[in-house]
Amino acid sequence: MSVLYITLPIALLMGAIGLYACVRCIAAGQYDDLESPALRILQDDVEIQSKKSSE
Amino acid sequence: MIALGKSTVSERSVENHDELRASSKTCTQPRLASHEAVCDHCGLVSTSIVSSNDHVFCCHGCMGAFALIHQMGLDDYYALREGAVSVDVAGADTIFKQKAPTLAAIEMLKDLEAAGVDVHQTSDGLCEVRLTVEGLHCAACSWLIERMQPTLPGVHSAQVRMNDRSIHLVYDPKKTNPSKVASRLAPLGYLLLPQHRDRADQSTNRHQQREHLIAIAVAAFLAANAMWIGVALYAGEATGMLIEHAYFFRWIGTILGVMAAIFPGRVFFRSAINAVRTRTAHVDIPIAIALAMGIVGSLFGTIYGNGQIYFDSLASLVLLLRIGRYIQFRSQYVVGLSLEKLFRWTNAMTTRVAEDGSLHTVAASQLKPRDIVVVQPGETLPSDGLVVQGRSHLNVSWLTGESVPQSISVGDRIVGGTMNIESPIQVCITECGKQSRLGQLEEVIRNAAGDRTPLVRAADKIAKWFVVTVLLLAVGCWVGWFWLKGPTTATMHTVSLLTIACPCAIALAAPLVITIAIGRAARQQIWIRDGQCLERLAKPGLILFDKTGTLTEGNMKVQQWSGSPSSIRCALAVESQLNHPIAKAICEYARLQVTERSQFELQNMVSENIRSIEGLGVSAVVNGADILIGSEQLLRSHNIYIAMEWSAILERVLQDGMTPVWIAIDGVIEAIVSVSDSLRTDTVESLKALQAKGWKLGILSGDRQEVVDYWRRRIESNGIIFEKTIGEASPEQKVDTVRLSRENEKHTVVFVGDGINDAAALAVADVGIAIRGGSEISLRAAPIYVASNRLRSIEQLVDASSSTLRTIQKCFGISLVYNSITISLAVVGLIHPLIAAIFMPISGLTVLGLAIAGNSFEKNKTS
Repeated sequence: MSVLYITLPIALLMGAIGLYACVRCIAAGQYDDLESPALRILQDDVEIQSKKSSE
Repeated sequence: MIALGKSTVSERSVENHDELRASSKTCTQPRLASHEAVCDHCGLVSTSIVSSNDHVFCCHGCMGAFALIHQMGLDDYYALREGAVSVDVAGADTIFKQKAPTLAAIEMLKDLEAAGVDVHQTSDGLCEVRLTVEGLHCAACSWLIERMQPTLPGVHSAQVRMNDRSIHLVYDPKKTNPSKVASRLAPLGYLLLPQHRDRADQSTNRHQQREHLIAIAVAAFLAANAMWIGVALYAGEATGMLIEHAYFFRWIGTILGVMAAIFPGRVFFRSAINAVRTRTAHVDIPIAIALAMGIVGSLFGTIYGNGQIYFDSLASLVLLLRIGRYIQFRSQYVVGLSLEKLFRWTNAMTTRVAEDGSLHTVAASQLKPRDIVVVQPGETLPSDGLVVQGRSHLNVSWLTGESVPQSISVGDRIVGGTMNIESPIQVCITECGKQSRLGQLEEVIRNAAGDRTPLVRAADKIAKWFVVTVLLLAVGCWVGWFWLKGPTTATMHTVSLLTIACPCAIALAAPLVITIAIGRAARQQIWIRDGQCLERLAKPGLILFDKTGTLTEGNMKVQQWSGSPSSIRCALAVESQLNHPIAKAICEYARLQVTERSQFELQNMVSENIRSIEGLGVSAVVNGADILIGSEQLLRSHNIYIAMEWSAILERVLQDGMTPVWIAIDGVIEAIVSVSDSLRTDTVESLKALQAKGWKLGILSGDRQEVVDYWRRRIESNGIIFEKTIGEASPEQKVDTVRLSRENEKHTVVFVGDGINDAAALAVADVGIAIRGGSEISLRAAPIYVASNRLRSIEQLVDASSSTLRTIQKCFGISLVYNSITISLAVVGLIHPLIAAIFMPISGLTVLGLAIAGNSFEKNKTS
């Protein structure tokens, strides 16, 4: 079980890398606005109305 | 059209499309709307209707915007727009008020530096700016603006940020400038402005938000890892594990726990230390004690390798507390944003006169005392000042609730936020920013919003006692078990006790529930300054209403028009030139009655020699005919006497408590118009609802007794009973009445009012509720301010209060019962530290869940 002495720090390190990435994202302002980006993805080139009227 | 306004999004878009096609074939008659209709562009319900090709608009502005959107092929906007559009009326007001300075704003953005806009140059020669967008309502607005970007040459990107209503523009300075973008967006009703609040303020806010999120992320990481290490340890305890392994796990776990207390948890220590220094009770003191004990206990446990360690519960406690703090921060931020919107009714832009006499457009925030500004009709005063040139009338309804304009001339002191309505004036600024009355008012409300409510203070006190009790119990427990079984067992049981008896659930409950309620209320445009009110409104009592502006609209409306149709056209031709409450009422009514043919006639009508006679009426010449519009006295002064056939109508008008206005053409009476205030659309409904909830109702008004009686009769005919009806009450009498009711009444006495004459009564009542349109002073006196301008909000408030109180009691009850059971179990040694560690955060989570699930001010209750 002495493998624990290696795997545990590695697991923590991997988590810490994820945490670091997350903190970087927040600090860069990616979480400042959670509203508009979610809507922006819906903007496609197909016009909504022409689709509807052809139905 | 009304049905169309209420239809769902998809139906709407299809119908719209059909209509567009239909309209190209047939050109329908403009409709004669005798009732209110919903504007096709903005969704605002309005009586002033402009119609074209089967579409109805509330104003020409909306019609223009609609045409423009259609031209650009962006009709999807109407499909994307949120369902049955209920346009924020306050927002619409702002747009209308801003109309006059739109050009000034566009002009001003030409010189970004002078406007105080931060321009960021990128390496490839592009410029970046962030500007405030006014008039943003929902996702469709941001869609529209962002989709316009390809049609704007030189603009590389335009991204709208909804949460602070701003736009980020990246553009090529050689090809375009923000002013051009602004002029393109202005016809759609979106106004680009330099960022409103101090930039420092805004960046601190953003900074704080990021700090909160980072702290939560770190705390979550530490808590999750500490937790699974904890699980490994407990599992090892059950099935057996090597001593070295257990030792290793303990050390790692302790490091994680200590890190949680040090990094995300340090705010609690900091504020606890500050509280101890200033000798005030603070909810963070028990939290800090619990954290400190957890750290010390865990360290001992780890170093000596015996006894339990609680790093996992420590870390999860920090996580939960930080989430609670974040929720609190967010709701305060939302309140702040909404407050800002409230104060946006002053212009962002103003025209300053330089020493050499030239005019410059500057941001209102840059004004200094002794600056001279020009205020055009239709503009609001940027700040307090003295009139130095010109004479005009001011609309001071914002300040006093009075609808009659106030006349001003050189030397008069005037207050920021009031609107100039007649002719341009020059004003020497005396106070600005935080010193101005508007600034002070803002400060008062902001401060009050940050006040701790008594319930929260009570909770703090309970939490403090709770901590003391638990500490004493812990000492007793340790001594007892030490005497019985020795140190190891004693430590184990004490640790269970301390772990399970965390006061955070109690300390968290009240502030969390109240903050959530206040935040949700703010979203419904109800500003609550004092959480105590929520407690008081929870049980029914007596509720007194002011009449004018509270039960009624507070502005004049034509109720009846008896006379010839030609009189309507003449009246419109004359009164449309004037700015008087009655003139406005007549115009509003007349516009609805005018058909297309007569509209043509109207255009050929020339009105000259318009003379308004103070307090009597107006005389004018229209197409050569002498027109008189006004009171009986005005007619008499022109030697016109009222014939018998009119006197019957006059009697009825007077009986109904309305004001008669006569119209005479060439010395012959043509019509009698009855003008009066009208009931708010939601008055009857909300009063009924309040009565059904057990509230007693009353009217307390300063208006004439017969007028008050008339309105009482009208409202009572809907099955509403008033316990009290008091008219002709001076402000002092209002105070006495409210005070007396408080003495006689065992229950809460609520006063709902507006205007300067209500301010004192609002302050004396158990709960004062100011309705929008009221004066600065009544706002200051009233702990609750209903900005939505709806009486229904009061009913909502009452509902929300009882549910808030119930939620708090539930939280208190649950955590007290929970804690007393678990504490007694721990004292007698029945709870293993492991179980304690699992159960401790559960009480906190229960409270958190209850608080958020509490349905005060839920959205679905508004409709």
